[in-house]
Amino acid sequence: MDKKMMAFSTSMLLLKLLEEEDMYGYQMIQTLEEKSNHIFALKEGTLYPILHSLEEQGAVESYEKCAKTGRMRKYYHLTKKGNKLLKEKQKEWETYEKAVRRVIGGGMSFAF
Amino acid sequence: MRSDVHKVLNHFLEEVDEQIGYQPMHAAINEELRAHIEDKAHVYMEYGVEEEEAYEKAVRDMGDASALGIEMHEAHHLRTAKPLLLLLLILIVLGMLGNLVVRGFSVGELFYNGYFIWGFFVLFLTMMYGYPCLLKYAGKLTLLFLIMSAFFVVSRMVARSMGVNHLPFDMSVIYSPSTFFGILQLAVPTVAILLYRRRQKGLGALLLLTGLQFLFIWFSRYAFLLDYACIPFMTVLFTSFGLELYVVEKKYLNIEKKKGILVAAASFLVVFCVWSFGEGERLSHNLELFLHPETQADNAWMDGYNNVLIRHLLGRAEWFGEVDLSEEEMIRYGTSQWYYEDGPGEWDVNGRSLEHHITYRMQFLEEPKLSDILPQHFLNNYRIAWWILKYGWIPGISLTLLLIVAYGILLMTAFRIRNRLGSLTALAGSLALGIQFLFYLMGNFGYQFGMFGNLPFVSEGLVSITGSALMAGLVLSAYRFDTVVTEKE
Repeated sequence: MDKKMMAFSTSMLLLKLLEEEDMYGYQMIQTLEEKSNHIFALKEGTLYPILHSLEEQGAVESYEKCAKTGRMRKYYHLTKKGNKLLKEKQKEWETYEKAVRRVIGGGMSFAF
Repeated sequence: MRSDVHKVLNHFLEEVDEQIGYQPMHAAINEELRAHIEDKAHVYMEYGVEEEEAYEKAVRDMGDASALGIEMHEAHHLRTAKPLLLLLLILIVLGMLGNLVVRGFSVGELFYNGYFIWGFFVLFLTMMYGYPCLLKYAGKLTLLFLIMSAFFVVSRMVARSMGVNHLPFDMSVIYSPSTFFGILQLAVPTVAILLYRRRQKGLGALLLLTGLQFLFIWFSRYAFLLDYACIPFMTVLFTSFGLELYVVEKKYLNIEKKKGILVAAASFLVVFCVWSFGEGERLSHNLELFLHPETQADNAWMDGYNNVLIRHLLGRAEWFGEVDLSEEEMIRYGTSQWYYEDGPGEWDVNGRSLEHHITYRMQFLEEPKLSDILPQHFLNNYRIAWWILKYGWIPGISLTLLLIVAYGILLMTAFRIRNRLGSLTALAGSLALGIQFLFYLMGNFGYQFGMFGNLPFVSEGLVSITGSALMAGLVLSAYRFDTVVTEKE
């Protein structure tokens, strides 16, 4: 997948995760891996620039909270703007996915 | 954690930091990345991997440190609101040139108008360092502003009780009524920061700004500055109300939206009523001055007369070029005869008859010019009207539109700031300047309310341009540090 598409889909997936609950970075990577049956194993460094740029856009907000272990963690929270952005990204993704299916599906029926 | 483990982790973080331009941001980014790597290393250790290897693996999983640093730098760098800075610079240049064109380009005038350059210097410095300093010292600054204001009030009270104008220690040369009001207006953004930091307290936090407004009323009443206080107080009142509505609308406070709006509106009304109490005569005078200036125009020194004159002259302005007046007309405007002899005006002043006034004024009208027939402080108080009368409606309206665009961009910049505290601080600055501009604009079309204020950046003195530069500088500074200052700071 090219870099642009990767960033687009990753930010959509991160926003989707935050729609359910506030999370910190490492938790997001783990949850993403679990939910996708280990298909989406992000290179961990790529997560933070995406999260920080979403924060700059106002799509997410962050706050610090002390974990049970005593370690301070930075949690991310989906904002109203982020929720709107998620809906837009989901719509774009659905259009893209349908187009890909049509092309792949059409090619197969032609082969038969 | 062992020292070699420290070494691996620190080396990775240092490499990330090398790519991030804004140094104060390093600590927050390091903390987040460090927590992530430690979490991951602990997972490896739970699977039996040795500590050193676990950390090495966790660091490796993060990918290339420099690439990560470059991407983090993209998300966190200082920025400049260039169009806004440029517009403010244009306004300052217009203000300074406007003075020099009328008064002449002499060395003395250049030196006298040096405060415009000082204003730009203050604006620039505030943009560079203002917002982080304000966040750091908001509480102390609020206290300092209140102590300085209280000191001013007490010294005025003592002086008055002793029957003198000033006490030797009241520093009135540097601490004029304009400074006093400027400092109280500067307290609005600092109190807004305190409000935000106490947002969990809900209504209690919202009422902090109300408290400041009561102090303003109390201070200005006991400093015997009620006439001067009108526009500065209205500025503080409307700015505070705007900020209260903003924090409620954005749900920054721990209260319901409806309840918050009701409390903000009730607080506005209560403050306004308290201010009006005992000031009924002064307020009705200001309202008459605004709506029916002819009732407040007993002689040519009254603000009501200025309103009447400006409204009348604007009606004669050209689309382009100076208003077309014959020498005879100039003289009759300059002596006020156009209103008190040819018009409906009735001269009524003790000690100086209209004839006496005409004789006095004639000495300045040998070769009458437009500047001779306008109100005395036309360059300070009627800069927009002066442009319309001197250069025509099109240049005058162009100046007005430029000002509207500048203040519009100032406000939009505040709304564009992502950081809540930054946005609130910038909103305080832009609202205060925008409200002053609106009052000034009304006055320039003959609808003066209260004593004349300033047109920020264009028509100012040393004190007021310093205050305006600090306020606008805070807007620029909050925007500049938006992506690098976190809320905790």
